[in-house]
Amino acid sequence: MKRSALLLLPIISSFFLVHQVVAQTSSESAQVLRDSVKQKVEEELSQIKKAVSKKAFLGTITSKSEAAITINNYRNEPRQALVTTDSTIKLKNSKEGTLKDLTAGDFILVMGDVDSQNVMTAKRLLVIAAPAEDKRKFTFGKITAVGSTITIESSSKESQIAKLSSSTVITRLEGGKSVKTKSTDIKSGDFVVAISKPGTQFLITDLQIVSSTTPSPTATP
Amino acid sequence: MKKEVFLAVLVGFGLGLIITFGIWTANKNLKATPPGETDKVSPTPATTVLEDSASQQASASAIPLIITSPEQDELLVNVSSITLTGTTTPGNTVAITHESGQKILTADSAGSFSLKIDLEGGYNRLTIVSFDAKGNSITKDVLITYSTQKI
Repeated sequence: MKRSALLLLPIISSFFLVHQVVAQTSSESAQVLRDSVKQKVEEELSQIKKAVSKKAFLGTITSKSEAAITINNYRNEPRQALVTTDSTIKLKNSKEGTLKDLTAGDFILVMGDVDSQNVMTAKRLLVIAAPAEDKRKFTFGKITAVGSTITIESSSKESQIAKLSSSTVITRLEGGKSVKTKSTDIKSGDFVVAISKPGTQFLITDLQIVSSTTPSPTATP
Repeated sequence: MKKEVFLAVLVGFGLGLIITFGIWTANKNLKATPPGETDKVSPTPATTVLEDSASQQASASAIPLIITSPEQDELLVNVSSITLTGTTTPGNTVAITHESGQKILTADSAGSFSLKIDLEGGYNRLTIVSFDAKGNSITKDVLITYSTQKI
């Protein structure tokens, strides 16, 4: 009995010593493994997401090959789209067409899946009229005249005369927020940001008073 | 007898030390990074920042303007409205035009701004201009296409 107890004693002693280390090691290994798997999954998901992004290129066809077209997009950047037999092509007259019907200079909207190189496999291709230029104007400047029209002078001393309408949205920057205000609050000397659209005269659709010459009233006790 | 007990404990302790050292060494070797590994740059977070357009007019003060949603330019969506979100200098005036309207906003104390935009069928050109208090500005353009066709 005593002999067997003596034999067990070193085993029990070593077990207690090793137990803590083994427990800690296995928990650390599991964590490392979990992190590694998580990172791998995230990388793969990111790649898949990139590979199957649905996009639309808008621009003019600059060149055409047997199975692909190159477009100069709205930012004058080249874009490539592969055209397959599965691609639907709609011509200007709404009739269906083929790649042969497309010519350099055609303005198109092409939709499909893009790969990680931003090369599109076209699914639907529409020949459309080139969009009209957006002539709305952004102006920052100082109000130099207020009447039936207002004059905004930019820092480069360029003046823009524009009118307000009943639908013009006028706001004032107050406490870091845009607060609605009236046209009568626009004073000469105010600094404003305005969006206007052309016509016989520029019409301001939105205006924000950024800084005012007239101090805002303060509460008195 | 006492001598035998003492010896047994000593042997057990020694055995434990040897096994512990073995585990510690193996663990250390597993954790060691391969040569050159430390020089690698970890991939940047998947935050997508749209590239500056040619039409940008960043002033000398270089105003930041980051469009966080939509995440990519030239995106194709099948929903009729989106929320345009971004960040710029806190307190900047942000003017936005889109196909069906326009809006002037103010970036909050964190520089964030957002606007719900109803999309027109087909392409939608969005222009975002951020003005600081001195009139310096930066412009970004985003194209987003709305189609209900199955692509």
